[in-house]
Amino acid sequence: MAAVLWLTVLVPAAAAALVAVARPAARGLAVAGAVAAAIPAWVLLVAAAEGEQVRSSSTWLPAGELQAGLVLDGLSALMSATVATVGLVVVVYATGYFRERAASALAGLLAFLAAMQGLVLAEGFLTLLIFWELVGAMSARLIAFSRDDPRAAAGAVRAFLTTRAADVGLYAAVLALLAGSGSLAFGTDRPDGALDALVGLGLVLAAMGKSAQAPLQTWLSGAMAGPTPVSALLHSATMVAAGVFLLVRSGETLAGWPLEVAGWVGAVTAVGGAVIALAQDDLKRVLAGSTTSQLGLMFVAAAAGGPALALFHLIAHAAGKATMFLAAGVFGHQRGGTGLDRLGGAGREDRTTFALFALGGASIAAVPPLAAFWSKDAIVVAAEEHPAWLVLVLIAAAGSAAHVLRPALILWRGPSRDGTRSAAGRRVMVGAASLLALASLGLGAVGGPLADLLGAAAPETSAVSVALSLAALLAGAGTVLLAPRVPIRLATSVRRQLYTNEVLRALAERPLLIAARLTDAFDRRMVDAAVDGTARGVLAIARAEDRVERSGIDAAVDGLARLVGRGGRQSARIQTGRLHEYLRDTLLGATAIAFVLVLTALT
Amino acid sequence: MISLPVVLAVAALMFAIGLYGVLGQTNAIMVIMGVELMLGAAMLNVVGFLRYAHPDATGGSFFVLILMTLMALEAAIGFGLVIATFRNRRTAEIDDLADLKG
Repeated sequence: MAAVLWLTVLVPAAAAALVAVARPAARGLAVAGAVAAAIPAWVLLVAAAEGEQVRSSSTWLPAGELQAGLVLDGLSALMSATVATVGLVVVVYATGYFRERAASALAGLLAFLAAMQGLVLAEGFLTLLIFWELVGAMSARLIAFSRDDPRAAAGAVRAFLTTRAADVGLYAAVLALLAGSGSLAFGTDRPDGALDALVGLGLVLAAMGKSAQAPLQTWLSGAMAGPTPVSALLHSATMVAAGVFLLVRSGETLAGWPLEVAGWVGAVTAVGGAVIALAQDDLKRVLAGSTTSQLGLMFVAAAAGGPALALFHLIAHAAGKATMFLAAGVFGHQRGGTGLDRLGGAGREDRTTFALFALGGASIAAVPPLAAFWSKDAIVVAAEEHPAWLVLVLIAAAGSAAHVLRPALILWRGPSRDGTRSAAGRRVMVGAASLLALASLGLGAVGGPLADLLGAAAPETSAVSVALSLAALLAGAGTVLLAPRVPIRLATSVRRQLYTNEVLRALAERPLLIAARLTDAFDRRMVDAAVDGTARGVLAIARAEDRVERSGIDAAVDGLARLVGRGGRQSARIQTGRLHEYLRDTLLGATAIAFVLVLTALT
Repeated sequence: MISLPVVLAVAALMFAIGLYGVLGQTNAIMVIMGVELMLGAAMLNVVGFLRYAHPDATGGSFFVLILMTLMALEAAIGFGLVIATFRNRRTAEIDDLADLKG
């Protein structure tokens, strides 16, 4: 089983490399790769259902006894299967979606899948951290896929920077955990004292960043500038789920007040995200806001109901939201964009796609008996002990009903526009999306088995909670139907993302700019001056050296030449050409030598 | 048996005459003759010392034979040069041959 564990990560990675290289056959290869990547994940799920638990790790850093590797248990197998399945569907969809540079996009999606599989199968915080970074890097690359679109690049940068900033929390938490508790296994108890706060807050912050929780939610709507399959995969089912997964996976490490904090963050975000979703004028941005809200509910679920509940909602939401995104992509192809003003009547023209969108949306809006109804209902039950959360959850539920219904109405009722194009590859896209829509229908029943798999408390439901949920649903839907202007007006006032961007700008951008200006001044006054001074000094030295060279070295060389010449002329004078004189000199020389020899012989 | 001092005296006389010939004569042939005389004096010295120091040894005579061969070669080359020069320049006076003056 250890081999299967590694295959789950390595197969999509290898497929990504192959697809990137084999450009002409990219589509077929990518689908084959995604299927091949899904098989080990499903094998893992079956094995986990039979109670198998495997850990395949080795010592990475002997100094700290740091282990790195993968683990098979209920939670990791479940997440792995979810990721692989949604990934498979999205890759199939993407073969129809991408007309240009398909190989690059498909390779990116597969590489992302590999990183995500590594994240969910990670054996401890160290391995998780590695794949956490990979997921962040891959997602930025995918968001920035459209080279010509400056919004895509900006969205990618925003997404990367925001999640990176939150990742600092993960680093701090992991280091503090290592320093305080000496172990990086999941569920290690938090150390005492200041490290306790560091670990708890760090992990929650990292989860908030990846899962786009308030106040770090703005990157998610910016990331909608990426291609729709990317949004469907990253921003509904996998990457944003990493935050929730982190909360669940940490287990005992987060027990107590950190989960309480996460719950509050989630409850507030659930409401905020729902309101933001109402105010958006782009279908994908509506879905992004909705995702933020649903992830908030998952945070509440993790805090109030435990891992089974959080995962239940995560899976139910993944199926529903990915369906909606995929349908939105089809509409976007037909209308050349996903702005709500373009999409009027698009659903009336393409009823199959609209049916898919409606099915996914109904699940997200918690219409019984669809999957997300059961999970959201269980969250209501779990939140009953926490009245403030309960109220926020119910408001969020009403809000999600409203913000799902609003674009659906526009799609159905809106004025048709000319220039509808038949989207190439539509059949593939719709086929893939319908698979996920079917999942939305059936997943409502998995709550119990899922809890068994995780060995946690099963999600419950009660008459009261069902009544409350339905009331919230009706309230939200009714408001949109009867008084459509009210939610819009409410939302417009908070249109600008609850002014988060402005606040962030004031908190982060201004100080950064001021710091930049200060460093700029320092640069000019001090560093530049130093550089200029150095240059001037070097010039002066060079000039001095030049002088020395002219007057000293050159003179010496010339003088030597003159000396040699003079010596030559002097010695040429000896050479008279007169044999007599040569012979005389020979005799004198011989006499001198003889004299010396005799003298030395005598002494 | 001639005594060693007599031999040395004769040799010294020959060397002196040869030296005078080399330094004092202006004709190239006379200079060469002087050199021959000086070599002859050296040979006489060698023979004299050999006889005086090792009366029974005969091996040393080979040096003298080599010297005689050398003298013959030297004279042949020297006279050859002089004749070649004379043919070209119609003179054998060494003071006229100063082309190598620096």
